[in-house]
Amino acid sequence: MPDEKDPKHPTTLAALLQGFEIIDLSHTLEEGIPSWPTHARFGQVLYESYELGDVARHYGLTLSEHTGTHMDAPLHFIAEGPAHYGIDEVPLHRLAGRAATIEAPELPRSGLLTAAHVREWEEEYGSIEELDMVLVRYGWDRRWGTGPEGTSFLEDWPGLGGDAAEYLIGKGVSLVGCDTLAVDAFGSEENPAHYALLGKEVYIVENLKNLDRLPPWSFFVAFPLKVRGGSGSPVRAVALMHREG
Amino acid sequence: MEIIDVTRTVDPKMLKWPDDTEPPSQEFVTRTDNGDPATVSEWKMSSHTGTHMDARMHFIPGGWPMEALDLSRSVGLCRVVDLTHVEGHVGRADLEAAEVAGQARLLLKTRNSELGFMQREEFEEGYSAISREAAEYLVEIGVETIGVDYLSVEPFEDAGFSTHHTLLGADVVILEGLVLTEVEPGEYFLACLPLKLAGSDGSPARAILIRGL
Repeated sequence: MPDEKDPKHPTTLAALLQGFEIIDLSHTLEEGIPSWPTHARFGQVLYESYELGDVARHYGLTLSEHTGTHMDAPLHFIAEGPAHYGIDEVPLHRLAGRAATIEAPELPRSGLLTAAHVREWEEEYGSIEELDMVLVRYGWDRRWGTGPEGTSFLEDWPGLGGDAAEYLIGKGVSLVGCDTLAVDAFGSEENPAHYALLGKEVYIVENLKNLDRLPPWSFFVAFPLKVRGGSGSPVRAVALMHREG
Repeated sequence: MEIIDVTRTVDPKMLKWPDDTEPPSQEFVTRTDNGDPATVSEWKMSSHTGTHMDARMHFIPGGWPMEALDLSRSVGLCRVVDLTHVEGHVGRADLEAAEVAGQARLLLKTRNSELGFMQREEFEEGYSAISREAAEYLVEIGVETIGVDYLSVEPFEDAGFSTHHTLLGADVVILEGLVLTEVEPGEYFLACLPLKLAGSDGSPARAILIRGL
């Protein structure tokens, strides 16, 4: 586990309280953002407005549980058993903690991140431990957009290979995040990473951005909306970064 | 380290502001129960559902919308203030007696929490809120973020919304609908991260308090 007295690993909340800045890792929720085919696109409906003679301005929201930067709950894929539970029951202490950011921007179209890639990262930056989180930067957030160009976000994205998912599960990680639409690669009919991770109650955050702003180790926080029985929820994901002085 | 969830669960039977909007609705798109590979649903809800943040533009034309929130307003040290003894709305004298000056982020625990108002399904008109003069005092002492334990900072009978205008006018961030029933007054680390909604007047949020750092 991280040692809060070691200034090279200022990744505990207590150490961060000496001074921190917040890096926003979330896409803005606005009309036209990419969404999974068959899921509702994000939308807002004006309920009232002072411009129209009402006392306040107030919108209604249409939110797929998998809109924008979001978290998957186990019941998204797990149909029964102890891991069949919703986003409102995900334990919060698993959603704030030390995070490793693994760079993988050079993978081919629909390519898979392997366990060997993760082990190489550990040799350079240190071992991933129980309750750590793992964020994978494929560089895919560059394709995000609100116009027709956003369609390139929805095809050919890389993902986590089944062996890498099993390796991280073996490590006891709390959460896996990525900057792509799904933790499994494009065209992955079997969804091995989704089934493996969620089946072992390892939570998933998808559609992250700005992972290039994170050092190899950071402190990651993402708390979902408490929607009863939800298969997921949009989240405001952030990293807290120790600020010197 | 202890994490305390101070969020109202969002569900179709929850309380809502009267005569205002529909309660949240959930519609399944696919379900594993029906043989689909995954379960996904879609929610329709007011931006002020349950535990939520008000953006400045909620009442102030030209004020900042949700995506422009300075996140440090709702992430950092805070104090939960005991005002459970206050019978009506929170007044200036109540805040003075609680010695709240000097705190950037304040969460007010009132009788609403003791009576479990936020956890009910029906709206309760008799909730405790922040009087206009108490709001003016909060601005005066430089509070940056104020949280309350019911759906509005505004007394129900104030048709002019003077508390909202006073607080948002001075760019105080408002958190509403906190569930403080199980929270002892004192110092905590607050993490309330609302959605990054473009152009929106507010956002549902997950709010948590951390103690024992």
